[in-house]
Amino acid sequence: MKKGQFNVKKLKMVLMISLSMLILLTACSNNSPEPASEAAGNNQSAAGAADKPEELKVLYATVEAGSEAIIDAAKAYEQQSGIKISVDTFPYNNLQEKVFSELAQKSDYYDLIAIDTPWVPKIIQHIEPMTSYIQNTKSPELLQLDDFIAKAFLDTSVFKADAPQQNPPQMDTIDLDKIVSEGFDIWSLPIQSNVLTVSYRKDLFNNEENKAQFQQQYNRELAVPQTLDEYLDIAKFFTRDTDGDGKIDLYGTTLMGKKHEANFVDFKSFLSDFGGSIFDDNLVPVFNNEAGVKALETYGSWVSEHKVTPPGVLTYTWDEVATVFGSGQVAMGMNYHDMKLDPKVEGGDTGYFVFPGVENGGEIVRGPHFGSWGIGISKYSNNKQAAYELAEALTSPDVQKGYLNFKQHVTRNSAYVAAEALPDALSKEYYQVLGESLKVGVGRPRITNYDQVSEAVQIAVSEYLSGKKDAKQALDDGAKQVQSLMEQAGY
Amino acid sequence: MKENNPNKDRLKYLLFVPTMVILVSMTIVPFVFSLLTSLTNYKATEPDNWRFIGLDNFTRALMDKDIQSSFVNTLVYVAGAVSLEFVLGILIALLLNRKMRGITVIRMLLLLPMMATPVAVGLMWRWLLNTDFGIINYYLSAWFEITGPNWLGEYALAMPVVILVDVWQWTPFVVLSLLAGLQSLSDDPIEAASMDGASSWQMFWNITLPQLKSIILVVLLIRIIDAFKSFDVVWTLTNGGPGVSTELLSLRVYRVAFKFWETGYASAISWLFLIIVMLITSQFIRFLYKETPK
Repeated sequence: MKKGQFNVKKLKMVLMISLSMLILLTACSNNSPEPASEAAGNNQSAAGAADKPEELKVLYATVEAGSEAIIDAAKAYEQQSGIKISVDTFPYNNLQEKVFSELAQKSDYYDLIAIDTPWVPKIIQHIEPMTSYIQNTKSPELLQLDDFIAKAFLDTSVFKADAPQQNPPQMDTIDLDKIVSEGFDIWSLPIQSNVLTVSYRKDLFNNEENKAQFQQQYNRELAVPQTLDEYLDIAKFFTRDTDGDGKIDLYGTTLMGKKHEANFVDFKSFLSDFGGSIFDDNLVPVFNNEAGVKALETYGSWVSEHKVTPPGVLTYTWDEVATVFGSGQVAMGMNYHDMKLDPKVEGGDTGYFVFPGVENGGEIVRGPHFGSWGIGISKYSNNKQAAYELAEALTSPDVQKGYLNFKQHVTRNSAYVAAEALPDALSKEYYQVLGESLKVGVGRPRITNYDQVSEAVQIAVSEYLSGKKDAKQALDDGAKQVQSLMEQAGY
Repeated sequence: MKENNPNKDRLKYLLFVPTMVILVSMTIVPFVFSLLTSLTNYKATEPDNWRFIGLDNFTRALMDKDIQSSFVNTLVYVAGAVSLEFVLGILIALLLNRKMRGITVIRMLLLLPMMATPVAVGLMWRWLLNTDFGIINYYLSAWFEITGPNWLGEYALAMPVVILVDVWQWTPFVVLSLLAGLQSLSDDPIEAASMDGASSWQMFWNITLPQLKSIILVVLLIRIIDAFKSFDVVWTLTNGGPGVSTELLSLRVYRVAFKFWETGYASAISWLFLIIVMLITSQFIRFLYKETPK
């Protein structure tokens, strides 16, 4: 008995020693970084001390932000500068976790980081403001701020550090002085802009028989639709049994009906078309107003009433939409890249057009969702100046022209002008549509709890689409939930 | 009597230290850290900006409708999956507990679903159940001329489908465990009962089942704990949708922790989750000890 007690005592001691060792080790390894304000103040000196690092590390997305183009440009920069450039790429979800955890740990491992716009309000305190670097640029020919598509630049890169929810001043050409004078900073350089566009079966649209039938049925020419009503007519027209077995095998269009971010931005595009928005200027949710209900009912009617979408549409995100369009099962499909037809689809030919709008007072209002990627400097990088120079090079006019070879969604006006001279007619057409779409695109709300708000709206839309609630009830419940989330987040 | 050698004792404890360090760092430290975090408003994205908020996270979790609905979903999922797995498992085990040709091959085949990675299982079933391209709807249409439903997109169907996928993957585990139990039973009581004229059902109910009780309890315990922790399959199949119909508590915790980055709140939910699982499993363990012969 006594011996047993003695052993327990010893065991406790071993445990205590182990625990103390561990705590000591943890304390020792906690390399507390310099305070953010000091780090910001020391940029230039730090940059001076480490003018030309041996290596720069970039944390980047995979297909979502066109990694192939960036890796190619990084290789060219490596040869030109003599600095080794390592680009680590991750798919979207993994990248988000990686970016957030790297920054939360104040890790200096990565110098440049790909930043999706909705992340900015949450991580702004970990990103190095670029304004002073831009003002002191050594290569104005690479920077050329006025060449960026203003809408994409403002949405992606211009934020107020202490109030990231505020929208920057609107302008047609980027005016740095105006941005700075209104208290905003530049936090990244836009490197890729994704916007909702429509891919369609040009072969079906150009078919003489289809043209004649459509003319007879709708009393107008079968052409690229300008409004959602016209789009629905065409979708209804093409929803048919093509092989005469009594089953529908061609559908009019796709949607992204799964409870997913894809569904949120799909609904948001319809909402913008109807003149609605997720929030008003005071960040009060208003997507349950008349415009919201109309948008959701229109969206849902395509699935349940008109049945112009494939039966599995409620499980679709952007991946499934691309597969379905590629297989030739739909005449039109909406996505954030140029969808292609599978070569097995006989006689298949693809074209692109801008997401249609809704006529309002004689004008067509369009609001395709757009979201851009910026490339920003980690506040904890030891090579901030070099990282800035790399970001400047990766987004420079000439390099962006090179990105056209990779079908990158470029962010500069000059790149879109260059795209007009592309030899491939299809790419030329896509870039034209992409450029036009970006000009009318609507970005995401700039809030710290974006993912929570997006999820609440996804649930509302999903509950309506699956028939659990009517549109008004679903949106009202969603808005109530969003309101409570906004209060929790301190808005 | 052996003489105590103090040097030998010291060496023994010294050798014990690395294991303890690993155990403490891998288990106890994260455990304590999560408990402390649950009492704060800590967010992983703002590590310098936190304060103690007492039990606020716990009260918030108890009042949170999303947590309540995901808890109900989890209970439905666990009850549905484990009970089906048990019924099917015992039936298949009884079927396989006889001498028949090809039994080894059948047992080998039974192992396959268990060996697959849950994410791969989720992806595989997602494509099998795909409304437009899936092989299941294709054969429903080709053989029976039935238009297959939208398995994962319909509110009423999504949860049963997710349960069935879990049943597909884990019933073999129940089968193999119970089969091992059945094969370890003595034939004598069955033979005696048979000579006394007992029916097959009477022999199963009064002899086989009571003798298997301990194994059944262990198998159920393992499956209940596993089903409560299910994540990958549901995540890849439905992402918690449509609406919130398949949003399990594990998915909710992940979302709160790694999508919304509310680390303190996610820790509190995890602790509540752990307490619930412990309460349920402790009942099983108590019952198990009661049943185990001393």
